[in-house]
Formats: sequence, C-alpha cells, structure tokens
Amino acid sequence: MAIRLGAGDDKTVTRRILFYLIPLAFLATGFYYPLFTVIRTGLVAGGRFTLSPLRTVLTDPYYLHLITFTLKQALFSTGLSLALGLPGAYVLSRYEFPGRRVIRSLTAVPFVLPAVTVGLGFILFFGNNGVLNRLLTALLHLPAPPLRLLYSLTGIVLAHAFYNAPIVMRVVGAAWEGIDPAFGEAAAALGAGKTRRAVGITLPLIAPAILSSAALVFVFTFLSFPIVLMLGGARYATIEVGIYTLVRTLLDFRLGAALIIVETAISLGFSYLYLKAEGLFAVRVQGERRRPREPLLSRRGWLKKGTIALYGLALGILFLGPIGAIIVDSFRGGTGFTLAHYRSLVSLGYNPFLGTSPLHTILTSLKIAWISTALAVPLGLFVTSIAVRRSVPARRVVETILMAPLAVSSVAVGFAILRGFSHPPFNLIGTVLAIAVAHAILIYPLAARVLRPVVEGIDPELLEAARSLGAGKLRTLLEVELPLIARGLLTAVVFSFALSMGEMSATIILMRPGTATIPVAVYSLLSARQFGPASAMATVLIGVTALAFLAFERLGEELKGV
Amino acid sequence: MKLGSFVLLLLGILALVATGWGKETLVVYTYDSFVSWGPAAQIEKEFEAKYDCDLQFVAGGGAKAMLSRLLSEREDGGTPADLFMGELNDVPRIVDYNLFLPVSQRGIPNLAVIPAEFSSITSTGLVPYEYGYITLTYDAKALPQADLPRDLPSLIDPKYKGKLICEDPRTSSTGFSFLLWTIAKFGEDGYLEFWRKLDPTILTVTSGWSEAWTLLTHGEAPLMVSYSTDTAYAAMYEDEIRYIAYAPGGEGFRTVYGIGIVKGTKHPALAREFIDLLLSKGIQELLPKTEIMFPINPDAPLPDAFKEHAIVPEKAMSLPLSLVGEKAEGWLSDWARVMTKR
Amino acid sequence: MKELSVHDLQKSFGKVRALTGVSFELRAGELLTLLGPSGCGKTTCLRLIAGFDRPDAGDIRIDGKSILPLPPERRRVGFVFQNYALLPHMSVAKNIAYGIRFRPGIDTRARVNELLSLIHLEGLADRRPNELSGGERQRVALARALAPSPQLLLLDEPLSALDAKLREELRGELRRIQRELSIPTVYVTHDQEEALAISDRIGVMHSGGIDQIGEPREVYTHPKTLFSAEFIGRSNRLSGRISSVTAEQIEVEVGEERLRAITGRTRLSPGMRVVLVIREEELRFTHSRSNSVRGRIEDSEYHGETTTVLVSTPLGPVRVRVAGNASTTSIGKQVEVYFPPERLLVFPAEPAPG
Repeated sequence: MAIRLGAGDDKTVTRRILFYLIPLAFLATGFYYPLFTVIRTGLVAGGRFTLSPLRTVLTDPYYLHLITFTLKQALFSTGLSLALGLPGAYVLSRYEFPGRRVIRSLTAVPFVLPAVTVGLGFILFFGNNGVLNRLLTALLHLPAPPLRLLYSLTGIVLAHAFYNAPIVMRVVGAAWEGIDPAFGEAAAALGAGKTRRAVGITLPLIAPAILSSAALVFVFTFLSFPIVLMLGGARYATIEVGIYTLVRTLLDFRLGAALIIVETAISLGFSYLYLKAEGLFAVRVQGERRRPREPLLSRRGWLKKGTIALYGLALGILFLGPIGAIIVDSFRGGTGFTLAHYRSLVSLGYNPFLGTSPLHTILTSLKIAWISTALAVPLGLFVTSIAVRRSVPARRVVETILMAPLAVSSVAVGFAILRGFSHPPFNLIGTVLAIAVAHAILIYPLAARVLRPVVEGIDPELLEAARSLGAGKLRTLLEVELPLIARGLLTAVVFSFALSMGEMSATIILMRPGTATIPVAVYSLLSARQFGPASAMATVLIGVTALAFLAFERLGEELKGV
Repeated sequence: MKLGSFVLLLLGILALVATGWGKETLVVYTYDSFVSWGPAAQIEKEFEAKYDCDLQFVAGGGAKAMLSRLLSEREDGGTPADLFMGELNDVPRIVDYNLFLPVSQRGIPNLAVIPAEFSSITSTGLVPYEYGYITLTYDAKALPQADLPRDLPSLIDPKYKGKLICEDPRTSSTGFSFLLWTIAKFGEDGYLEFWRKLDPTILTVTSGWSEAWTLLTHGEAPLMVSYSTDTAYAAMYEDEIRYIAYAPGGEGFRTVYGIGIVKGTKHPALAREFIDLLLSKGIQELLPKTEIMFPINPDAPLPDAFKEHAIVPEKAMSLPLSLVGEKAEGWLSDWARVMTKR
Repeated sequence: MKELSVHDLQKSFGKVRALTGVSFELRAGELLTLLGPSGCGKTTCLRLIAGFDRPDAGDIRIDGKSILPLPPERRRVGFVFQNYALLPHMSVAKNIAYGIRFRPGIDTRARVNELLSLIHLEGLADRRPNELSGGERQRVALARALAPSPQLLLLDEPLSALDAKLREELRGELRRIQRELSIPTVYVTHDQEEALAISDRIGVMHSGGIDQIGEPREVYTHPKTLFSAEFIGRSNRLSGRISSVTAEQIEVEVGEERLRAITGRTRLSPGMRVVLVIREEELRFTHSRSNSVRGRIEDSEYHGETTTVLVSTPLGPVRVRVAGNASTTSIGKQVEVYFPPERLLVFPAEPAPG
C-alpha cells in the first residue's frame, strides 16, 4: 500500500499481489498486449520468426532517410528548446519581477495544447500572410512578405521549441533554484571567480537537469507527428509519417510494425537516458538554503538590460504571438469585433461536422479528462512507488519498461488500442472509456514524472514514525503519505487533466461521431470552413488550461505552508 | 475494472434500446462528409418513414478507413454493414475483395437513370450515385485570372514558386486524385519527372483537404488542389466569391462515388430499396446542395448557382479502376520517395 | 514488559555487514545505551527492534515471545528519531494524539494534555512543528512516542541535533521522565559523556557487534577491549612488550622504560606485544620510585574546569589532565609524570585469537 515505505513488512501476500496486479493488469491489457501484437506483426510471418521487414526498414534508403531526418529535426528542436529555455530557467530562478509566478505557471500551458491549435496559431502569426509578416511588410514598406518560416524544417523546429522550451525552463529552473548558495560561497571564499563558479559549481549541479530535460525533449520531438505535418508538410516525412502511411494507406502492417519497432527502440533508448539523468538529479543532495532572488531590473548595465529585453521579445513573439493570434481571430467577425463564434459554441444545436452539439463536445472532453485523470494519477503513483524503491533489481530497466508509453508514439498507442479493443470482449472502440483508457496510458508516465520528486521528498522516517505509533499501512498512506504529497498530487491531477483535454492524435483514431473532443472539434470546424468557431473553441481550450494552472499555482502557494 | 464492466453493461443496454428491438436495421458504412455535409439526415428520415425500419449511418474517417474496418470485421466472422459507400479511387481494390451482391434493374429500377458513361461500373456490384472533378482553386484577390497557369505543365514556371498547396495522396483522397490526374496526363513514365519539377511550386503538402483549405483562405498561397464545385459552393453559401475553381487546360480528374450491397446482408431487399431511393430524383436533387457534387441522375434539377458556377472540365481525365487498384501502392511509394525532402 | 531480549541479531545491507551478531537483555525500567561511533550498527539494531527492517538472522523477544512476525504498528514500541520525524502537516496536539486516536478507552484530549504537561509545553498544542524550536520539537517527539504507553522506548540519537547546553538540559529531563514512567528504554548515541550520564547500563558497539555491556562506571574504569578503552574517555596509548608476569602485576617495556601494571588479565605472557592505555586524568605530576618518567611541558589547553598538558617523555608525547587552576603548566617546565599501576590498562596488541 505504501508509496514510499517498503521495508519491514508483514508479508500480507494477497494485499501485496493486489497492489501490483491491478495496475499491471491494466497496463498489460491497455498497453503491453496491444504493443506486443504490433511487435509480433513485425517479427513473425507465417508462424515463423523473420527479420526481413526490419532489414528492409534498416537498409532501404527511403526508410533510412526517414530515420535520419527524424533524428535530425529532433536534434535541432532539442537545441533550440535548450537555447530558448535555459536563459528562461536562469531568469525565472534567479530574479524577482512582477508576474514571475504567473509566467512560471503559464509555462505549463504550451505543452498541453493540441497540435491543431498550435498549428492554427502558427499559421495565423508566422505564416506567409501571418500577423508578423504583414506587420513587417507594412512597417518596412516591403513588396513581399520578408519571412518564410513555415512549411520547412524551420517551421517544425520553431513549433517544437514552442512546445518544449517551457519544459526546459521548468525542469532546469527547479534544479537551479534548489542549489544551496553555500556551494558557490565556498568556492568564492576559495578564490573562484564568477566564471569558474559557473563552470565548476553551478553547471555540474544543474547538468543532470539539463541532460534529463534534453533527453525528454528529444523523445517528445522524435515522436512528434501532427505538428510536423501541419507546419512542415508531408514532404518533411518523419518515421511517424512513414508509419502512418504504411499502416493507414499502404496497409503494409508488417513494414509498419517494423518501423514502429525501430522507432520505439530508439526512443526507449533515449527514455532510459532520460530516466537515468533524472535519477542523478534526484539523488543530488540539495541544500536547505535558497538563494534569494534579485530584482530583475535594478542596477544593471545597458548591455544586460538590452539582452534581457531582446530575450523577452523573442519569447513574447514565439509564445504570445500564435496564442494571441488565435484569441484575436476568435473575436473577429466579418465587420469587426463579435461574440458570435462563442455563442455558437454554447449552443445545444446539433452540428453535423461534430456529430453532436458544440457544448456536448466540451462536456465529452471534460468527461474523458476526468476518467483518464482518475486512471492516470494512481497509475503514475504506482509506477513512482516502484521507481523510488531501491530494492527493485535493475530498477532503471524496470522503470523504463513501466514508463514505456512515454517512448511509444501516440499514433502507435492509438493503433495498438484500436487493434486490442475492437473485438469482443473489449469492444470499446468509439466509447468514451476507450478514449479515456488511451489517454490514461499516454498520460500516466508524465503524471509519474510530476510525482516522482515529491514522493522522493518524503522522509521515510515520517512513515516509520507513524508505523511505530500503531498506524497500519493503510492509515499511514491516508494520513501521512497522501497529505505529504498533496501538492504534487494536485499538480499531477491538473497536468493530467490538461493533457487529456489537449490530446488529439490517439483520440482521432479511436473516436466515433458523438465522442468528439475539443481538439477534434477544432479540427472538424476547420474542415467545415468554420474558422471563427474553430478559433473560439481553441481559445476556450487555452483559457481553461491556463486558468487551471494559474488556479493551481495559487492553491499551491497556500498549501506550501502546510 | 468495475467501472469498465459497468460501462460495458450500460453500453449494451443502450445499444439494445437504440436498435429499436424488433425493427429491421439497415447499417450503411459511409464516409464522414456524407454524414456531416451530406444528405444523410434527410435520407434517414425519409427512408425510415417509408419502410418502418431503423437506418444507421456509420462513419469514421474516409472510405478507406471504413473499408479496412469492414474487411477486418469480415475476417473476424461478420460485419454489421449492409451497405458500403465511398469514393471509388479511394478504394480502388474494392472489387478484388468480392464484397458485393450483384445488382440489376429488376431489384433497383432506378439503375436505369445512370448515364451510359457510368453504367459499366454497376457490373462490379457498385452503383455510382454522384461524381465530381478535382481541379485547381485560386484566390481571386491574390492571383489575377490573367496570371493563372494555363495548364498543369505551366505550374512549373518559377513565377509560381511556393504558390500551390497540395494534399498528400497517401492520406487525402483529393491528393490521390491529383496524383492520378498527373499519371493520366504524363503517363506512368512521366509523372514523377513532373512532380520533381513541380516541387518548388508547392508551398506545402498537407495531410488533408481541410488543412489545405485553411492555408488557402488564410492567404498562405493563392492556389490549391480542390474541387471544381468550389465556386458553386461559395455562390450558394458565402457572402463573396473569392476562391474560384478552374480547370487548367480544360482538364479535371473525375471522381465517382459508388454504393454496394455487402454480401451476407440479412436485408437485401431493404438494401436495394435504399439504393433505389438514393438514385431517386428527390434525393439526387439534394446532392449538389449538400455534397456539392454532381448527381448521377440527369433528371435531378441543379440549383442555379451550380448551373452557373460548377465546372465540368472539357477533358475529364480518369484511369481504369482496375489499373489504379493494381498500381496504387507502387505509385504512392514512388511519389513519397521523390517528394520527401532530403 | 519485564524483559526484552535480543539474540544474535545479524543484518547486512548488500555487501555491508551492519550487525554481526548482537545479543543483549533489557530489564524492566532499565535504560540501556548503545554507544559507538557512526557506522557501528547501533541505529540498525534499534530499527530492527522497532520493526522497520527485518534481521537476516537472530531473534527479538519480549517476555520470551518473539516479536519478529509483528509489523511495526503492532510492536507497541515508542521510537524517537534523530530528526524527530514530526508530521509536518499536523499540529503538536495532533502529532501527540496520532498513536492513540483510534485506541478504544483512551480520552485522547486528556492524554495529550497530560503529556504536554509532562514535557512542559502546555501552551503549544496548536503549533505546527515548523513553528517550534529544536528543543521543543525534541520534547514533542518524545511525548508522541510515549502517548500510546509503549512497552518499550527506543531513542535514536535524540539529542544530537541540539546545541551543547540544551543537550545537557534535555538529557536530564529525558532521564527524569524515563524514571518517572519506569519505561524500559534503549538509547542510541555516539556521545560517551551522554551515555555515561544517562544510562543504567551501556553497551559499547563496534563494527556491528557489542564489545562490552556494563554499568557506566564499570565500562569506564574496566573496559574489556582496547576499543572500549579508547572510545570512552580521553586516553593515552603506549605500545610495549611484556617483560614479566607475576600473580599481582605485570611489567611492560616501553622503549627504554619499564612500567608496572596491576591487572587481572590472565592471558598475558612475557614477550607479548601489548598496548597500554591510561586516561589523561589518571596521570599525575608526582615523583615516584617507579612508574614515573621525566618530561617537558610542550603545550597546554585550558578548558576551564581542567587543563590538558602535553608532555614530551621518553615514551613519546603524553597528555595529562589536571584541575583547571593548576599552576604547574608553564611551557618548557621539566616535570615528572606518574603512571598509577592500578590505572594502567593492558591489552594485547593484536586481537587475541578466539
């Protein structure tokens, strides 16, 4: 039962078995078995083991190109995310300025936005005819739009930075904040100058965080699918596009499965690296003392002020541009400002393009989000409880396997579930439950990621104290462990909820008319040439997510004193 | 998994209620847009009233997705589908699967209305009920009519660099029709060369028609591969006619939509009645207004806007379905190899 | 409880053998201290008794009945942690009440108040742990452990996080409460002074085993092992060789000098290499016919009550502790250092076989 404590147990075998069995059974039916069937498709032909599809994928220049291009774009995307995220991590952790907390909580928003929303925002803002180009054309009196950012590798990398630079900011920022200033002070007392302190003290202390966020970003961008298609186009084919084509169009399941195997192997490798780096990060001894934040804009030279302003401008353009463009678009009618698009959203009327009413779509999204959160957070907690246990043999490998959905693309998970749940007794395709299960599978590793440092932060002595006072495991769990990780649990719940609200890749594979979610509705409305309502729907999603994170941040601050 | 079993039970009950108990149920596998844009709701009302049965349209994705669903259900011991409908080039190998019952005028009197140029299709068990043309559509505000590329080869002109939006033939039926058009025009030996030269002209290859239309209407590029009825749509439903369809060099690629009765159906008579109704003047008349397609029945009156603006290309290109079925995979793979950015 | 008996406890963590076979008995009302340097296994021993870890071998019995099958919550053992482990999300009162809240027949509120007055913190019931001082936290931790009236109290370095003055004050308090309640207690510390002051008996631990158990005075004056002798008290250590053994005394050659020692040890024989240990305060600046050497004062450390004088002698440097106001400590002075034979402890240089 216990999350953190594993020792000195009376061996209540049945309870222990239940503790492991229920979540593992869920993962087995919802993920491992379907994935296994996919892998078997790639490796077994006519009842016999074969490597020929794998060999084809690994020797054919076309597929090799897909693999190298995927790696290349992931590498560039990771680079840009780090370049944009690291200064942000520095500023957020070291300086105090008005709105710092709001900004920090809003950094969670981009990650959970569906690709269709971000794609729309990018087209509206960065497009050849986008806000930025029109602005520059008007300001500089140019004959043609000066920037050609989208429909190229640049567009893909830019969108990936939009998604992932905030992750770098959060992960590295947290590590940076946690550094005990005593280390730097000790070094300074020993005569180390600023540069030497940065390179010799700070860098090694935040290096695991940088490494872990880089590996995470790499995995995410490696598996990225819809945003690559929207902002790069089908000519920029990644492995995901290859898989999609093989399985959906060419119906060559064996080659598709082989490509899935290759893709999963690569991303699993990077996930392993990520978990390893995160492990390093977690065992790092953090000091008690926090360095006080300096005011951002006092007593700084013009050069520094200029640099900060320039960086702020770059971030503003990248993040506020696309989101702002969507919001403005949602209020714009034929003749100017209008609320008509929003009115159409709350209507109960049947919209044939959604297969239901817009309001029902929003309710479906909320329903799916609740169910998947209710599944994903306990699963995440379960995985975390195993991951933090030092007694588990080959812990890192076990953890990589338990976190595997992180390394399997959402398209592949969608397919796997489609195949696994489309026959009796699990004929669930198209139901809210099937979509929620898929979401839960995709989300729980991220929930575990949120929970892990919190669980690791529990002092095991507190649990032992409770036990020696006569509290059983259940009471210890309910009265000590859960209250201690309440903040982390709340973060995990908000995060999971938002991720489910924004998930689209797997949803679109599994949905049927009537189970459309908000992102699917945005897409469907775009298809129906209803751009205004599409923007309004996207704005609702952005608003709900941002509010959730902001509200949580406030609540979280209050809970901190607990 | 208590929740799971509960939901399962609930779904089971719902399904029972929904099927209306003893009533005969006719299940039609169709494509999304037939339900969302198309006349599905109206047909359902009319048909259920007339035959006192339950008509269910099932759509999830395009014809291709529904076919693969049907095939896998058939493999697993039976499909609930009584009828299947979709764009034929989208499912070129459909004939090979031997899926459909034969049709004849005896069961479906309205087969008689099908013009001669389409009537040969019925021998496969598929009944054509509407058709259209893939052409180009341009943004009249961004590209004056005089500057339009005269024909497909002139698209290669450097002055059109980055001005065309295409759909991915692997994921979009519009895109696939355009690919077939280039094969029909330049031949199996020449189409790849054309695409190679076309590459600079293409702004981007989108995964579907909707994405391409989004880009066109947001001013990202002035030309896209679309339907010859786009102008008619704008004339019927929009305030201004800004996005105009035209047939470059008088050409367009013909797409035909067909419906077939799935072998093993328990309601063959009802299924024939459905097809007969679909071909009837009353329903055919709805197709231009809802599907924005040409009705197969020449007697069905066209709306004025359609008469005025829907383009029938002088040279309607097409490829034999059997050839498409045989070669499609190779063409798509070759296209992907040529077009994928290095 | 009448008796806790720990029998041959063994425990390894991976390749590290934390306990190599520890046995002892604890009698009713007794306070037994496990004293030893960090890493000697004393905390491990305590955790095994509490049930937080399971031993690899051995047994723990209370009144003859093994408690090994019981989970921690059913052992009725009070545990005070080095860092107190107060539940941060609960008030002082709730922390103290934690162990009795669901016990039938206990008036929780009254019991909490009773304990608060026992630890003299009546006014702090509603405070959160982070609003308390170190000493207050320590008391609350003790009160919490005592609240369910455990049959046994385990204290793991309970005072080590406090400053010296408070430590002394609280250890008196602890002892008072322990005596008042007459609760059998195992106390773990690395601080010999604390151990000597507070214990009924002390068990000296060393690399996973107990070297010696005895009353504080006995352990101090008659250490059974070289380790005990050196770990407890401040001592001088000299190496030498036995030149003769008689029934009453032995004579040891240290360098050029000979020292007599009165010892009951029987396993010593002439020619054996030995280590002589003598406490700093047992050395005296007096002349004697034997057992004294001449030396020169090199340095001195003034402690207030005492002064430690560093003397260079032919036996090597020797530290002598004298009363604080002694005027005989000026540097450079020639002195004679006397080694009282009855205070000289003799141990074999190599661990005796067996």
